[in-house]
Amino acid sequence: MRFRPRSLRAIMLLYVGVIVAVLLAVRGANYVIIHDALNREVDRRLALEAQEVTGDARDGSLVAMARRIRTKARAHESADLMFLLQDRAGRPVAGDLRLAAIPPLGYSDFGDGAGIDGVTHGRAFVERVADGALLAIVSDNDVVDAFDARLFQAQLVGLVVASLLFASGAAAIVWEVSRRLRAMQHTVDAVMAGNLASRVPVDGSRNEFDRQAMAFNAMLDRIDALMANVKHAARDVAHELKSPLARLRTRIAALERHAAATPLGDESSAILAETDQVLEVFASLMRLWEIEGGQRRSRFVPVDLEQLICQVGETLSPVVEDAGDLLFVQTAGSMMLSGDLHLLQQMVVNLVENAIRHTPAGTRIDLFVRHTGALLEVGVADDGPGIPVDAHDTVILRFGRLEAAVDRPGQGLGLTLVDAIARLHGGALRLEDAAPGLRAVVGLPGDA
Amino acid sequence: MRLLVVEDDARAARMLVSDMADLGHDTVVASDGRAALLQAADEPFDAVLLDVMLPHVDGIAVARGLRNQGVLVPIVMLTALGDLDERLIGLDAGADDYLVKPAAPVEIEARIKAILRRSARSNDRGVMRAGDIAVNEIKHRVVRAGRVLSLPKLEFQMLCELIRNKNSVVTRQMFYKTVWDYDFEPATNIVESYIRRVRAQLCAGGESDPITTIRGVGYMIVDHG
Repeated sequence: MRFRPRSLRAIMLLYVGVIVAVLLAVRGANYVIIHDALNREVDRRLALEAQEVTGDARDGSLVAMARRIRTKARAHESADLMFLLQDRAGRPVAGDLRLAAIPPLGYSDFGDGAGIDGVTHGRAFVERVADGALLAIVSDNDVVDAFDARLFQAQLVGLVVASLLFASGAAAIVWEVSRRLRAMQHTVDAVMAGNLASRVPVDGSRNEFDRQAMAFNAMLDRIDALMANVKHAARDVAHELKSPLARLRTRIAALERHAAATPLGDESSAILAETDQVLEVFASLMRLWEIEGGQRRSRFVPVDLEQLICQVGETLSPVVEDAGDLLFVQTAGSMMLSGDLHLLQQMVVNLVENAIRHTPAGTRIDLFVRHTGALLEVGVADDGPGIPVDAHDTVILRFGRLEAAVDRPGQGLGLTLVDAIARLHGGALRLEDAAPGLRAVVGLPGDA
Repeated sequence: MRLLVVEDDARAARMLVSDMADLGHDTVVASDGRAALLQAADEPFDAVLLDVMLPHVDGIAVARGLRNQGVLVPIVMLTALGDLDERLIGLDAGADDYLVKPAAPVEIEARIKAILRRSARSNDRGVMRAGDIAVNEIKHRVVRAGRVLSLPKLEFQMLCELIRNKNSVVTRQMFYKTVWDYDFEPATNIVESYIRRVRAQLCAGGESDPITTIRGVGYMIVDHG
């Protein structure tokens, strides 16, 4: 499985990780190269010293070499070197170097195991000289070690400073990008909640974020204008239709009064009832537009849901009783939220009425309000015939009615209104299978 | 009653005049806001039926203008659109009530009468009577023909509304507004269910039913006394 970071934070973490790894590798390589160069310099000196001991013309007598070694031992510039000259039998001839074991021929490192007095570790050079004799020169590496330590510290400090710079740079980028994205997200949330006037803040710098924010705001302006057009068109249509309908209703009502005792009485009553239904649909649509417009949010006040539920339960209990149903109200203490009292009343009334109207007599109806995590849930459950799960979304839609309910009174807007009210309050309506029956639940954000 | 109808739509105005005449009221029509302000200042009216959308000066400005002139006549706003903002702006401007078109003529009449009663009533909310029914609102006590009734709170409030508006129709909308403080009309017959219970209590002693149903509109208690 390939790893692909998705969030900005993960991408920046990966970026900083890669940068630190590269820095580590580069500085490690630097350290190795410099350390190696120093060793080569030491080797070159050891070779030079060995050459001076053995002599240019291969004046290879042990005596001559021993003399040169003694001379060098007294010289100040060779104070960091130790010499050993052994004859073919392995007996020391000159030099103060004592070794537990002779290092291999050529250049080598040595440490504590070499058993050299006063030198913990260093560089050795061993070569065969005349007559099978052996010349060993060791160099104390203290200077190189000290340089190595300094170099390591410098590399480490450099690495830490560079890493911090990269990490803080990345954090600053993440913070700035997140800040702008959050501002945009707030605007999107507000627009989704119905506040089409919300806009992304612009700081006037005309940088990439500003330009994007301006483009986004221009898009919202356009949507807002289109929505306003649609709304006005809808309102104009409603206005144009409603006034004639109002006059029609008045005339039909007069006709119905006059025709009360005539053969046309029943028919005119039926026409009046049909007209009233059309007007009810208009009233519900107007209400829906008003809710979806979001203006009522400015009138939110603290509302106690428990009290509201109890009052609606009390109000509707005679209606439930007349319908032959049973109503139970369950609350769990005072539950405050910020909302529109009248709309919340309508929401709960609609939920209970929906249960009354779409269930047979004898149905048990439970009206409840409860805490679920940070949400307040208001709901109505019944043990009636319920709604098929795949039709749950349909009945929430505008005019979304089930085939079975078409012959029952209603406009197909009851649950749409409930959902619109829930959304105005930052919540949503969901339908659940109560097995048997239907459970309609509205989750609302409560006041902390 | 003598009513001033402020309506720019001539057909709607004609219908309203005719409906109000059917109910026995005189009407004068003003076709725009400016004319309404002049007429209301010049002539005495019992109430003003005011359309919101008017040419020149809109209904809100007319209501505000009338109140600023010290005209205290009841004003009922009528409009085809009725969202909360509009209603509240209208009421803030000085209107007494607000009806969304189409409003049935009896609904309009009932609202005007309710406003007139409200303003005529003194502040004491003591005993109200209609026929052999006496209601003490403060003590929450109902007596019919010497028999003390035990009415739950909501049924009691409905009876109070009926008696307060005796000889006038109390519409369903009025009940929802005054008893439940609802600004919407529920889909079920809440008012009918409660009226049935009030009737059952009032007639439990074998008395006649004092509540008249006005079909499609509301209910009324007639006081012949």
